[in-house]
Amino acid sequence: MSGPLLEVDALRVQIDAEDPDARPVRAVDGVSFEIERGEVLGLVGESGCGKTLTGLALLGRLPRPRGRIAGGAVRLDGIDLTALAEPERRAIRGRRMAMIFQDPMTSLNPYLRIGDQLIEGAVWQGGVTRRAALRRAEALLARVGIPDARARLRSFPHELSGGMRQRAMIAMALLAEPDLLIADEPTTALDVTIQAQILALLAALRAERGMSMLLITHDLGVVAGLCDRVLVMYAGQIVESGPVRALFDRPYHPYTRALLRSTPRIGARAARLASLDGLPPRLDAAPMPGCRFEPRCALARPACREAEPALEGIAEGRDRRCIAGLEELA
Amino acid sequence: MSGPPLLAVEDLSVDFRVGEARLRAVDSVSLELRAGETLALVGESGCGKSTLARAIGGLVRVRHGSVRLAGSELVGLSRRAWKPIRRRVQMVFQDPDASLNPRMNAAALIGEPMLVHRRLRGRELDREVCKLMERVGLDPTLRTHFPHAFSGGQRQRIGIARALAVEPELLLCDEVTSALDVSIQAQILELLRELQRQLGIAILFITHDLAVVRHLADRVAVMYLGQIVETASAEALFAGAGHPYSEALLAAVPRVDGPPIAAAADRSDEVPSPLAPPPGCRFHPRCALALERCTREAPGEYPIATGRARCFLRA
Repeated sequence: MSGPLLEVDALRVQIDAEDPDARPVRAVDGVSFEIERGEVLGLVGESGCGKTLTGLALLGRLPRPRGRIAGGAVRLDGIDLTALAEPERRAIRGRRMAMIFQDPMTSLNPYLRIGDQLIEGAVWQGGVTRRAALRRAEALLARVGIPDARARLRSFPHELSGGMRQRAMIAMALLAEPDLLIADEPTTALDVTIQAQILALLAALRAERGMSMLLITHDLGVVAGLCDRVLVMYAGQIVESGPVRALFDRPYHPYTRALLRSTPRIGARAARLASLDGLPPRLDAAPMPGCRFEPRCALARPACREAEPALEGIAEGRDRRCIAGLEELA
Repeated sequence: MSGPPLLAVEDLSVDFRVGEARLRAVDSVSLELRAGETLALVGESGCGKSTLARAIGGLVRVRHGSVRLAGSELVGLSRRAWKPIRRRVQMVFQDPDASLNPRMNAAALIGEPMLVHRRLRGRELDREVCKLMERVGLDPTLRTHFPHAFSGGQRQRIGIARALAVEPELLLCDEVTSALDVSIQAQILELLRELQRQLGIAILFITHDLAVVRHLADRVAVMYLGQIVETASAEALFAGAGHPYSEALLAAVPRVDGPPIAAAADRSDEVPSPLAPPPGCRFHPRCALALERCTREAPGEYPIATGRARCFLRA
């Protein structure tokens, strides 16, 4: 099939306040992007920018009852998942998309042996014996680098180390051979040597399966290592997107530049890390007319307060939401 | 350099009991820290770095060894004897929320140590609180606000201000930026550098993040399974590690300006349990350069260009 695997079009996610009279939080506010087949797309930003909720919205797993998709479309191979009835949507999601999280215990049932959790779906759907399903689960565990896979089928999640649990969760996500894997901070809780192993595993799975990935993270180094393109999110919006290398070498949005300059590097000691004063705007307040980053922006000018800049193409494959001249960002 | 170092830790061990078993969390660690210097203590979870900091701060019981502050012994001091030391040694933790009383406003939180240790009162106390808030980048007009009204980065600044309130000589910082976003982390790191320049305090900075180490540290101690496997100047370590474990750590960090990560599905070696550390060199089961000798015999510490390494390859 031609066209991108996933198209997200003006997606809006709202979290309703507990108090019905209070304004909802516009957590994701008009986000659009595409993921090509086999592409690894990074989604970066700081806490509260809406990156995790974007991932959950794609899967229809927003926190209930207060979280909901308030607008926009999520099209997988041209089919709008937000327009489908729940059972159909669930079938597509279960087969074609999977998600892994920072904490594997959000996906693993602590009371079930690893093997039983892995074969649950296949056995329930029928057409396969328990023994055949277990054999496949064992192969999958071995594939994600779990030593002694047969014995591990009988382990409970708490008997595995953090790195091994992460591998088990990845194995579970791969069961249905999804076309798209959404990975939300998959290595953030891991030690750096274990993180390197999991990232290498994800790179291998992508290479051999041609699986697309949306990698949600705050770690620019992880993005540089694994992604083809990257979206930078700020206050519920995408402020910049482009190929990873080009975007990190030369950011076109002042927020991206500030993020890069505030990140300590292992290769060279910066004279001084840039810091961003102030905080992102509250997303439950009435929207201000101008750019959301303006109050913290080093390049702000009066025009930035008048109208919100649109996300526009500025060079081959590069979009940004800013009116500053590129020479100012050099 | 003349005189004793500000902090001298010698052959320090800390044990924990885990059921019937004994876990040696810190195993014969020696290190030194001079006034005005930043020593980073780096390693992965469970390596004993936080326990070591707590032992230095008198918060966990020392099994064996010595901790001297400007020449005087801290191990074995009574609680009472610790009180004047607290003025000289302060700790800042990862989670400011756990160490800030939610019912005290910023002025009370920052003023409390001044009241206890420096006996400041009234207007003088208020003036010092405002001065310190400005110094750590907090607006003094917010001093009547309670912790929940501040952001995570601001709460960490309150934690740092509280530690500085007694004018310590040594600051023990345990993962103080690990819970913060990168732009906020940058503010706190720059604040610590600035404070050190102005006040000349020594900092023991415990972290798992090597990029942060690179930015902040003068010297680095790398810990693995309870032992320090390498100490070196930061410059020398990042130019080329002296111990295979330090090298593995450096190589594992994904870099913003680095190459794409190579695909590899089956690398799955893990840190052995500290309850049963491997015989010989503790790193040998994961070491690409291990010799037959490393499986039997524990290496001592051998001098390298700017420090020491616990590796036979340096013997």
